[in-house]
Amino acid sequence: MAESLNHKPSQLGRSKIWTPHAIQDIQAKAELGHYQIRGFSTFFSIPTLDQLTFLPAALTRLPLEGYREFCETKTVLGGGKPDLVSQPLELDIPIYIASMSFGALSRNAKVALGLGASAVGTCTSTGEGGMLEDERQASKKLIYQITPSRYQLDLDHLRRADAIEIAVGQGAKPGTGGVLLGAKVIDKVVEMRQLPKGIDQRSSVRHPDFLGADDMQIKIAELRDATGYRVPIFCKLPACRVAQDVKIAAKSGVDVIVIDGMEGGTGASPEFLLDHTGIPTLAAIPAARRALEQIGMYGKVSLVVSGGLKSGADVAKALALGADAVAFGTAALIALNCNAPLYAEDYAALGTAPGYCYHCHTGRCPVGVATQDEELQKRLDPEEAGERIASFLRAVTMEATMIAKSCGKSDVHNLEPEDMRALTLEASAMTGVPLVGVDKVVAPWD
Amino acid sequence: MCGIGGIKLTEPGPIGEELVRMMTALRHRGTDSTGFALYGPWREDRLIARLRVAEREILDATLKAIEGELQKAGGRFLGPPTWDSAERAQDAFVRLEVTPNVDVERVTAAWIALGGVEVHSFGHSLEIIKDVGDALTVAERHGIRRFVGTHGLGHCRLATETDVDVAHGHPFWARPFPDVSIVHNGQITNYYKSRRLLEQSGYQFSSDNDSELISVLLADQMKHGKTFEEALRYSLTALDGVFTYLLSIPEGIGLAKDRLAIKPMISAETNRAVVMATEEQAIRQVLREEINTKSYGQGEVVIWARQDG
Amino acid sequence: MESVMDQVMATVLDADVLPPRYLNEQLRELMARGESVVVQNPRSRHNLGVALPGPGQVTFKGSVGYYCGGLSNGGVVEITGNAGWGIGESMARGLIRVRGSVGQSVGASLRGGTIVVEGDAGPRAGVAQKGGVVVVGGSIGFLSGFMAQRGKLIALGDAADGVGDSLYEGNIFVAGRIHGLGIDAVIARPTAEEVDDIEAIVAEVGFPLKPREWKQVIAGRKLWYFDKREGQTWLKV
Repeated sequence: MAESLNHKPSQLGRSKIWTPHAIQDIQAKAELGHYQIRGFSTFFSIPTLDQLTFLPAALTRLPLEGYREFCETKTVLGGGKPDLVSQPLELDIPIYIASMSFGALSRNAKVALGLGASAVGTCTSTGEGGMLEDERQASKKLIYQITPSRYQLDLDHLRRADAIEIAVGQGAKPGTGGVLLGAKVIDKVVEMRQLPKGIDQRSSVRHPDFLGADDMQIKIAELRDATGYRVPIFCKLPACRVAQDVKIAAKSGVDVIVIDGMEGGTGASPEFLLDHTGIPTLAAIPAARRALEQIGMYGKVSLVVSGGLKSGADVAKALALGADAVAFGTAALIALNCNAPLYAEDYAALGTAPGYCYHCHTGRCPVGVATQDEELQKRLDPEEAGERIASFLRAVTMEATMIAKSCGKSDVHNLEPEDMRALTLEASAMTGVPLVGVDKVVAPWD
Repeated sequence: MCGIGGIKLTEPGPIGEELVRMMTALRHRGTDSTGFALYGPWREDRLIARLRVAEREILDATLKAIEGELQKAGGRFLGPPTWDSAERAQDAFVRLEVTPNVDVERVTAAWIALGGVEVHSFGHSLEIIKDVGDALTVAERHGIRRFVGTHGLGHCRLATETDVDVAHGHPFWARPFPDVSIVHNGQITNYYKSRRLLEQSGYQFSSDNDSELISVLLADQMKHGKTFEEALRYSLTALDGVFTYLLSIPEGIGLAKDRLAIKPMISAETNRAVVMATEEQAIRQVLREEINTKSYGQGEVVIWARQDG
Repeated sequence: MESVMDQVMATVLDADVLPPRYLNEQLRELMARGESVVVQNPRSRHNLGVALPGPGQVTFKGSVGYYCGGLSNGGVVEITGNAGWGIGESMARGLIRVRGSVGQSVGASLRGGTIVVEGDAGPRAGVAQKGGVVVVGGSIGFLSGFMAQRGKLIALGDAADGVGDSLYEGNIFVAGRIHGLGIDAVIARPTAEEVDDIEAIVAEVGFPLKPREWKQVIAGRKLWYFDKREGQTWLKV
């Protein structure tokens, strides 16, 4: 007689609904009385750029020598309105470091990112919380982010920035404000943000003095006026209703639109937001490009894309789909040392291990990247870590240019959607890139 | 991929005959289609349009519709339309002479919108004749050898990324600019991106062939104030990929070669003519004497201007 | 209070003639030199008088639009009419006086200096305030003092519903009626010292001294930390 199911201990493991994580989440909520909060990004499986592949030159066109011939990577952002922006942001490569706050990150991390970015001719961004003087010194080019909280919004800092970014939201947790838990609201963070020490900071999501795209237009005019019509105005949008949001932002007068996909990272967020809000970067980029084309602004308003991008192939695909540049957030932190196999006992104390850690929200980052603790921070040497960033960005740029050259391009910005094919039906339907083999776009609703 | 060539005579002469000989010599480079851009005597008082009607059976009705659209745009035929005499062909190649003040883009778009109509050229002097098949086939059907003029371009094609059909054959007319035409050897790798930007400015394309894009791109630059030479130089950085092309305007022929010097171009000059082609042996068909030829390197721009132009 | 701005020696700029960009450039230059300026015909235009430096002064004769005095870094600004949104937003230092009423978000993210509104203030007065003082002679609108971190918001008139919502360490003083409190806001009685301090400010900016019943609105601090015990409060969020 067959054994009864009652005696098999592993049966619940077959359920795709009542997974170990689902069970843990319910029990944690029963204990805490609120949602769980953590760092990093969604752990869900979602469609990504990995579902696209390139078509290098064979007989129909000529490849460039990948190891030898030159491929241009210079990138200009915000050059579309010369009478309003006298100094567009000029970068040597089409990759910069995404907006991540001092507060979420340590001072040494911010300095390291600045040194590394400067070494390869690109820029960083202040993120929320204002301009850290150390970062301004380390970064040859620095974007100043204005978030709804307006922490330390200072006219002098605005005037010393190389670009100004109005943050509407971020891909990890769209429609909500920044989160910084109490362990990290100490010392310099308290001073800069003027918050009670140890508070679990939840920033507002709406800006205090403009409440829609119609008044954002007036706000943009104010910022240009205050800074002498010099630097480009960026707008960071979470990837939600991309087509409409991009058109609105472009029409409000923004010079550069940054679209952040749902797989973007964060130092701390309610977990349910990471998993259940926003749309993937893969779908967001073509939607953004098409939106700009439809209002005749493609090439006039620059498009930057971020959210889970990590390699030269991702960069090449993002550019091919229509971006002018990309921003790396999490990937840059990992290059710093995030999840590096060091200080294993400290990872263990957090209940995790190198390669598995997403505990930025605790403020106990074992490698000194996402912490305000002075001792932990010492583990990250800014000069050394800056070199790692520079090396990583160089390697990524090499990957992207090799792909471009194999496709016959002497400039990475000449990559086009037609240089790619989709490996899956869903990627073809989402991006308008033809499906491999049949060379037709899958559009089920036509 | 392709063979291209051009000729500029010091005095008007048999450019049709000479281009046919050149293209016949180059036919090993492509027999999918062959085409000619021919500059006959300049007629200030009229525009000549070259069209292809896909269904010869309904030619009469199509011509009536074409006339109707022309009249709506305030123009009219100056003389009856003529067409090729290949009665067993499925299609018909039509030649029209119309009043010169019509809105060329409007009329072109209206004719194409009728369906089954391709507009191959518009010009006071330029006539583009192109068809599937090799040089001899095309010359035979369309009486190219009889053509007399000042300068012209020729092209024989091996299709690469777009289809083998007449619409994708060269030469391309730089729609909607009358009397501007191009033949191109190579493959542009930033075609789609450039095309989208031009479409954003209102241009419409008759094909998705990258050669057509180059002609429109340059004509647009000249419209915005660049000289012929400046426009050719502009293309060296604006276009990515490999290219050697000849752009013809009423005043002469211009050459631009890509920065990696991949696709060849050779020229030779006598008192009678200057001739340029992908291969020297094509030039020899026209200039039989042993003369010095010149070949061109990377990133070069050359203009052969008519003396009276 | 008598205006000291009507001086014969003041430079006059006409907003009907100069586009805002050039008017502001001239205004900044003049004020940096310590001069007095009068701007005619502002006609409620937006972004007049942005990022003004001290030590000069300017009077806008009429009404202004949004962000007048925004990002101010010194100087004295007077608006004889009404003003739009975000007056004095992110100001670091200086003085702004509006004789009429203001729209939404006056003193948004204010960092230092003083803003005086003789009429009423619209919704979100003193939102995200980080320092400085906002004094309103009339009433303050819906959600005033929202998420205020530091500084003082003083209303001689009433406070509409939602005052002090999600307050951090901001201080709100209301002499008139409080129509409703925001989430996590509580009413406290100010100390005698605090009252003296407030009355001194009120007098200094020119409002008449009279007996007032001051209420202070401060944070209940139940939304400051993720704490199960305050779960009920969190449910209201």
